[in-house]
Amino acid sequence: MTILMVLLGIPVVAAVLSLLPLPITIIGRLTVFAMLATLVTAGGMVPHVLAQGTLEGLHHFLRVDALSCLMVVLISLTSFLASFYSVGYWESQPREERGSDRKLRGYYALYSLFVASMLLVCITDNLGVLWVALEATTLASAFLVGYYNKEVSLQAAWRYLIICSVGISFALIGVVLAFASAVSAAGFHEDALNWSYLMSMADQLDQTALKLAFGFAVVGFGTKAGLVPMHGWLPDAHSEAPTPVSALLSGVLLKCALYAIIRFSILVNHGIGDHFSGSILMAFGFLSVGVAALYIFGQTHIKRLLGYSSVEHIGIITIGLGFGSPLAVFGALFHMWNHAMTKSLLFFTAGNLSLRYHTMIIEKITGSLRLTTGTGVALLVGGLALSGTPPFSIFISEFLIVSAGIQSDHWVPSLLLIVLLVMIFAALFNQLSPMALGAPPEDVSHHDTSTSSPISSLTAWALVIPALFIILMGWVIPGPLFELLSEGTRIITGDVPVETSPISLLRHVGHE
Amino acid sequence: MPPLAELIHDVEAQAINVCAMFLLLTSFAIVAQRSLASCVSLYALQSFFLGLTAMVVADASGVHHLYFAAALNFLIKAWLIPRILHRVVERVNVKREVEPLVNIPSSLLICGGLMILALYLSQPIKQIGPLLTNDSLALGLAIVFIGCFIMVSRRKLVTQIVGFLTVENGLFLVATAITYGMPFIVELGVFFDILVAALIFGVLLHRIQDTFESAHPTESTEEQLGSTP
Repeated sequence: MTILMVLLGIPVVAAVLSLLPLPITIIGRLTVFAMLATLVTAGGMVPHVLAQGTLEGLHHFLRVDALSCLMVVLISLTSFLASFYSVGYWESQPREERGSDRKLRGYYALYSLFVASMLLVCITDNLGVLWVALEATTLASAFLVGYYNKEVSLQAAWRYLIICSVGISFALIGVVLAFASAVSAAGFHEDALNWSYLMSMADQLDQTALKLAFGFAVVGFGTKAGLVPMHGWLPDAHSEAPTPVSALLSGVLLKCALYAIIRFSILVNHGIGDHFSGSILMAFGFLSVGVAALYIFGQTHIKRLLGYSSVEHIGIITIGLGFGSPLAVFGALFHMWNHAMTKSLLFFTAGNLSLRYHTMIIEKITGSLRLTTGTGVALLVGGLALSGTPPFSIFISEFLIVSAGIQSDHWVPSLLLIVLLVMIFAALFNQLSPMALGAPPEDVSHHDTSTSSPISSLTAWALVIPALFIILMGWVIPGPLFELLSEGTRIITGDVPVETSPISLLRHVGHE
Repeated sequence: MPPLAELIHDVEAQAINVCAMFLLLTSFAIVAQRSLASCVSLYALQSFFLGLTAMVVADASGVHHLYFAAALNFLIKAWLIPRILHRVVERVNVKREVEPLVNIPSSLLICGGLMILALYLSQPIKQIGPLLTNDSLALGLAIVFIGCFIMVSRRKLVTQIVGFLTVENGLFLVATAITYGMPFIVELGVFFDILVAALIFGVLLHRIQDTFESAHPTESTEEQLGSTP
């Protein structure tokens, strides 16, 4: 299908165009436009995927099913929002922070390449190419993380690059093992590295090799996904990167790595027959949520706090996948969306606050509700949503995961998860409420006219879509998204959640 | 007297093993090395042996795209990347020594242990690979582990790069050993990724040094480039 080529082509073309010597405001808007076009293309794929099941292209090289489609739409939506925010963010930054126009052109070019490589991760059928693309996301975003060229940001970029590159090397061993067992079972085949080919012969694959492959894949891709204990790069990269990039890293990059783990776990569960992958995923998930809970209490830097919260949510998604029942997997996939939207909202909010207060230290940012009402409201809404308060959408997906755990008799893990979630709720509330409520510090004026560059209104508008999403999705899931989530669940578990589960509630609401 | 075909097969298998052995030896040599420049040269030597291994395997197995992989190996890993790294080492104005966190004799001992771990791990995978290259699998895994060890046990940023590249070399050997290499498009992608990674590492290292020099003009860059960020 040519639509897949178009999807990949748009951001690549945008990257090339960004390097042209045009005024920087035009290049920023061009990037926003390209991301919007990508989003429209991705949206246009949805009916095809729902009708036909899969789209293929380039001789089985590209393949999109409901699961990939879910990721592609999420990536393009988040990148559109973050590019929109980028324009306002850079225009509001004083020149010495922002850097030269040439540097900003590089920023937009790498931004588009970063998006293109993430899209390639999700639409390729070839596990080797998936690996290459995932490594390419690291390479494209390394300079984005180190954009500010300060000592700390360069060190964050270094750590990011070295930990992720080495971590992901282990995943390549996993890929090679899967390939080798396919070749030894059925001889060499052009498509022997293709996920769909491997799935078609999963029961002939060598079981030990598959188990080892999965182990290597979880450690390797898990490094990129930020699972504890391989998360060392994550808080630094999230806090040092420019805010729009932080939103992309946390919102979708981590999920791309999770997507790779999901593909491997489907393969392994098919090949071995039982839920071999479940217990491993659950162990990593709980470790991540637990460690993140401890660290969230002690953070003083708002973006580091959000970084650790990403570790937590990745952990929750992994636990959902580990439970493995259709309901839990549905919840986990839905949680990916909710987390991406909530975290984008909060990173944008944090960016706006830093433009106003000129600091990222939580203690120094107080009373934002009184100082900048819109951003303050966004902070409250986002903070409540992130900590899992009803009626926001994250509550729904967490509720689905926990109830699925109880349904499938995972009593102890489910209760443990509830305890950890309550702990994190307390920690986040404790940290974020003074930022919104309370009195603003005296040295920050109400009407910020002191700085040379006024804060662009685009930065406030960027908050609208993610805020609407997390509020509305707490009540209604639109039909196409619901069907994509169900189909994605079917691909992972072989089944869709039954009507009697808590999901029926959502379904009825969704179909009104 | 075994038939001639079997004899040739034996000889080829042994040639592959010898090459792979040299690869492992150079990894140990990197661990034992004190000077940064020699570390880089040893990496170039290691990549040379890797290319050689790939050529012998290509010849013995008749998988022709491995010749391309071998050529790329010689070009990119044995020539281009070491050139970039030598520049970086010259540019970085510090005592050009490795500064291991773990002293060298213990490092070698630990690497011996890693070798045993690799042998143990490779046992269950062995039967799925082709007989010809069976034994290099353990060697490849060992090189991967040793590369990781170099990264965590050496303080200089340059040695971290060398460690990373060693890991990649080990991976390539593993892939060659159990499958005669991956499909060519994937291998091309991997080479491209490594080259770009090496370039980015070089640029980042320069920038880290620049920012450090402008921030602390009186101090030496020793401490900065010496420590793990």
